[in-house]
Amino acid sequence: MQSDPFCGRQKVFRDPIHGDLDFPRPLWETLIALVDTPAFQRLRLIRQNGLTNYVFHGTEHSRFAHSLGVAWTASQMLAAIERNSELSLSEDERHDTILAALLHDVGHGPFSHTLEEILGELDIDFDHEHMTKRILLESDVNSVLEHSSTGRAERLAQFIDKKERTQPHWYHDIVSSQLDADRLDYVRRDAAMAGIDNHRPDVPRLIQNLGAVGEQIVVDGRALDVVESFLLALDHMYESVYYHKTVRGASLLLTATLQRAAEQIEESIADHSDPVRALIEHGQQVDLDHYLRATDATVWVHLDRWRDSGDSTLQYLAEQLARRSFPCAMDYPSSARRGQKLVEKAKDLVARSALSSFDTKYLVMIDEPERVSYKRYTGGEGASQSIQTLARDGTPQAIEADDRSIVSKVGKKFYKRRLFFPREIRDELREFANQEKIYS
Amino acid sequence: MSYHQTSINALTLLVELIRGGQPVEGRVRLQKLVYLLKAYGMKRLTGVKFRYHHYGPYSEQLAGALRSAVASELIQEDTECFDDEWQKFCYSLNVEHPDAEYLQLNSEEVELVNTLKSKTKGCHWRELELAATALFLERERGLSRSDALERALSLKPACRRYQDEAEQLLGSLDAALGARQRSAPSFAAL
Repeated sequence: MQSDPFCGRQKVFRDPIHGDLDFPRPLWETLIALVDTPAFQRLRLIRQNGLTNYVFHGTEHSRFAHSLGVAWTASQMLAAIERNSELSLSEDERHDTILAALLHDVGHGPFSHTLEEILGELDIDFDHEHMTKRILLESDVNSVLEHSSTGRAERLAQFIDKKERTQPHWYHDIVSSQLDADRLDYVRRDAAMAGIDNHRPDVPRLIQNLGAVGEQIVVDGRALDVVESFLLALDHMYESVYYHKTVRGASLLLTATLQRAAEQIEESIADHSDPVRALIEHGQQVDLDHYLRATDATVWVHLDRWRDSGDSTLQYLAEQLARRSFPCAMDYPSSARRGQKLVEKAKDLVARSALSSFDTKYLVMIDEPERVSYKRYTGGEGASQSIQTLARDGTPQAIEADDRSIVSKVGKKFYKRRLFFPREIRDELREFANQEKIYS
Repeated sequence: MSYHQTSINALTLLVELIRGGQPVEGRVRLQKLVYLLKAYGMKRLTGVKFRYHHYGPYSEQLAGALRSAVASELIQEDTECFDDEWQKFCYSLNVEHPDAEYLQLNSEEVELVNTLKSKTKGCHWRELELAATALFLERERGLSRSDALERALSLKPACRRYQDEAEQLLGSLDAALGARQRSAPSFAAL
């Protein structure tokens, strides 16, 4: 007689978006061991959407929650494709895919994209995918992976970095492609957390209509509407949330603050063993123990401390963040010549304002859609870059090639650059733009 | 250098590549030409980051500069359909746009662009894809030319028929631009 009638019960993660997340039983032990590593637990302290919560207060969710959602979504995609296309992966291939999805973001640093951009401008090599590979190969994540299956860490690196692949497989695209588990999770999670419910795509139905032809993932042509609703939702999220004017203003202010701190590193972070300082100084060569202690929280401690900084620029910028006093925005003109004229005027106005003692590069900034880390669907030129639908005759075709599809419009939608500047010069700058017919 | 200044630099290069002559066919071609310019020492492109993408080295910032130029009608984008690829974009410069004159390279840079244009004239985009990918792997991983080409071919079997042409192209670019690249100061020294 059984002592515990529930001893065979499946363990689950309870997720606000997908419901109960269950995983294949043989994978569970490895999955839990990975989730419990400091490298993965650290993702609890890195927000999925950076400073978006300054506008959409619900977006407090972390990369930890997102990563679990991506792993589960990947498992559903695998199951659907194997069933629909009558394929049978080995257990290692199946588990590799789910674990690669789980770990796809493990290399993100604090305020991931912002920090990446600052390090880029300082000409310090840094790429979060490189850090993901290092964590797979060098941290305690590696021993968990290798304990579960010899060679697994190297195999997972092939999911993260295309140029590491010895041979491309359709299941790689579940982790990284225009229709990957990452996007299928965040299009729903970010929207729900932001309180935006009007473009909710039917992700479960989309997954149920996936298949594979050769090494290519395809969607049943009869589910074109679902793919379209997914791509529209992604685009609407971009417009409404990720590229929201105030969200971008907040991100640029953070960028300017961190850039100033990085340029004055001896004064801003005196402690050489500080993980943020180590990251700024060494980029992707940073000691991994340091890196795994760097989170949004670590940076927030500095941001608060810099409100008392002896460097007046750093003090001012940190104070603006604390007061949610973000820069104002105007559309950047479509002509580079006019744009340059507007930028020069903005700098001139700052130089003649109460902010004249600060370097204008921290106050007058241009934002571009490509700076946003969440990518829209841009489709492609070569067919293999696009999402593929399966026509009735059984041939895959790029979704844009379907005359009925509205996707080509989505892919070509253009978002303007914006000029950001301090509120103090707003009225004068607008007046200048009107007088000089900058937008005519 | 600010992100925006880097974007303007990328746009200036695109304008020069498209200026004059026949329209340039293909986004992939433009991406690879700009990558080759950067790899062969165009200092103006220092801040433009390339990553390994589907068709080899790719810059999102460059793609954005192109989208922006098309939206502002500085660059005209036409679409053509082909049997083997579902569509291809053709780019030509709108010389009436005020930025066509505003965005100019210096004479030394123009010479480098013109050399690249002449060496790559008539190349299939797959040839450029393979050459740029091999060069990317060579630079990033410190591979020899032959190892880089072999690795690139394993990643891009569709480029195999262009192997000889890509190898010759790189040899010809090395001869024409390699010396210049060696004499260019490293970024750290700037």
